[in-house]
Amino acid sequence: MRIERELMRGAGPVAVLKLLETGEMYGYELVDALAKRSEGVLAMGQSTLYPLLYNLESQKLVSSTRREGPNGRTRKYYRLTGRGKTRLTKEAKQWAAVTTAMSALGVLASEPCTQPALG
Amino acid sequence: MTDSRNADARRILLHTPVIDFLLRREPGRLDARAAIASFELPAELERLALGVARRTRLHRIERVAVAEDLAEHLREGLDDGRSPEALLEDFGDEAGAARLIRRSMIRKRSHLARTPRYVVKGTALLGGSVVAVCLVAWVVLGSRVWFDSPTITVDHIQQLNNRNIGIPAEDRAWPGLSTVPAELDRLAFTEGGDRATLLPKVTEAVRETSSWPVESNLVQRAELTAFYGHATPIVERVRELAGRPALGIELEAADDRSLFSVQLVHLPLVRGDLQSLLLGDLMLAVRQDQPDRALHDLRALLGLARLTRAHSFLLCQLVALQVEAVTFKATQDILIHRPEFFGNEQLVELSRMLTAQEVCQSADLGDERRGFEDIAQRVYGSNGQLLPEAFTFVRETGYAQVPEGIDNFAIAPFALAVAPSRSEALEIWDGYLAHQEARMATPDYWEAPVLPLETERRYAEVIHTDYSKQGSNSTFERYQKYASAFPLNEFLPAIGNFPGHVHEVGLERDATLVVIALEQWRRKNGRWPERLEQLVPKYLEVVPADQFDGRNLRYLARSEGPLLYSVGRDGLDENGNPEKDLVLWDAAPARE
Repeated sequence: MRIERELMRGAGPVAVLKLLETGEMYGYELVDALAKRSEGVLAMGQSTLYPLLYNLESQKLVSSTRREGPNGRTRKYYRLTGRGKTRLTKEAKQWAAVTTAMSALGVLASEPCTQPALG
Repeated sequence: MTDSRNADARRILLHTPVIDFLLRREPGRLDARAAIASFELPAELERLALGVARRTRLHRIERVAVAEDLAEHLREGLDDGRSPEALLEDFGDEAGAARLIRRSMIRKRSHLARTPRYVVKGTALLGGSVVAVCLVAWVVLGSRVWFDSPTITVDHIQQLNNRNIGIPAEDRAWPGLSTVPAELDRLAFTEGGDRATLLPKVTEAVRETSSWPVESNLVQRAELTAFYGHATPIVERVRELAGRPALGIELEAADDRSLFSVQLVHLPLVRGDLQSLLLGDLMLAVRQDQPDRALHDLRALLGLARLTRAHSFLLCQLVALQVEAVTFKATQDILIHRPEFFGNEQLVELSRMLTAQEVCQSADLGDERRGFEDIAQRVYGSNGQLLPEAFTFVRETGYAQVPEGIDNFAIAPFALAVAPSRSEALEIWDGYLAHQEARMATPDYWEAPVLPLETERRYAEVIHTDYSKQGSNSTFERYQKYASAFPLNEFLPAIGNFPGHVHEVGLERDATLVVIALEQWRRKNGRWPERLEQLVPKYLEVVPADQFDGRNLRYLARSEGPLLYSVGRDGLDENGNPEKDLVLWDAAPARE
């Protein structure tokens, strides 16, 4: 399932920050990991990933270094900055709150929630 | 892998700054194609990476970075076993990707790097705003002037001519005076002189001869005597006409009935033939020892001045003053050079005649003030806003100073918007002329009313100025300065000195009265008085005040003959020094 663009705009950066929490990764690796670990839900193409990474860099949430990879070619590795970690924590809490709220509303349940009987 | 490394090494060696410079190509760090060569992409993927990078329209160095990122990604995809076609399909919309990348890369730039963009954006925004504001202002201001038109409600020429209603023809000097030149031309001369040659010589003699009128060469010439021999009936007729109560001229104007184009045809006649005819006759009367004839001529000259003031335009006032000044000077000269010429009774009559000639009190500018009312109804709209017709009006009156271009379609609404409104312009015009009238009418010029500094400055800004002399300013400044005073700057006359001139002629009148009184005293006592106060009350009611400082006219009883003078406009008494004071009458030279 592919998610709507607007939702992706909010979820994509958090997902990338989360992936980088465990260590540095290069662009293709990020795309691959996102697709596999989210079972395709958060899969994003090159045309979405790089603008997203540039935005995160401009906010100083991630930083990049180009260096030679194991295959002998240069690669650009991205890693989380201190500011990125703080943001991730904050965003994660917000997503948790949203998820809880959505569950309470029955949005995340398979059956619609029932209204409690009045009085 | 070794091949790849060799290729990288070769690329680095072949793209050093020095090699790039020598081969006249882009430096390696700015060459996207060279930068991604090491990824060894198939042609279609290389084209994709380069194409997207180029479409971002980022700085070259940024494009290289983007191309490298994309190429690296594609390389990784190929190395992961994906086909070029699959990678192309996954990539999606190139244009959309380029747009997103551009936006995010620009955000990545430092504030310093973004400064030129801020400046360009800010300038564009500011410029756009200014243009928009100007456009709105232009439409709003333009709508005030394009859809309005002046309404002419008053025929001022008719109103002026209405003054003649009820004046019988026998009380009018006009058109009788207008026929004098033609009558003179009809006289048959055989002695070699006529109006066209002799009368200008009289004017010239008056202007140039300090010892006028007795010793002028002109009066000794036979043709002058012959001319007046024939012209005597006409001179007598002029005297009679000049003594009539009213001028009675019907003013005429161009088709538009504009007061500005009114023909004051009597002015050149008075200043020219009529004045000269009487002055020439006066010269001969003195020469031929005919004091009654001279008295008649002097009275007629003063009558002409009075009639000229039938209209209180500035021009009329100037002509009247000129005639009066010549008449007073002629009287003083006769009393210097021919002290015994007038009999005692004639001196009394002369004194009475001059006393009745109120110079300063007569010098009003009412019709001149009316002039702008007439202009205003032709150039202002119903809401008091100046209209484009003003430019046309000024040009048609022959005042061609309107700066080129100020009246074109784009600029005119702004120029007209900063011009004084009808009420403001009328207030300035009326105020300025009323102030000058007050300065003229005051019997004490040294105490003439003074304007507040702010008002004085405003008048100075709008008084007629020569636009072409403001060359040092920019066109905008000149337009702004011109428009803020338009159309007053084309019509309001600079007459700050005029009241002083009026008072100088008034002083000449007072001095002539004193000179007559001195002569009367001398005849009675056989010598000149020591002080002017000795003339009061028998020969003078009071000693006239010097209008430039309020004290009595200055009098020096010198052994060689008395000197009468005023301290002049500077108000400083320099003991009658002719260079610094205003010498009114010096009896010494002629009597030595």
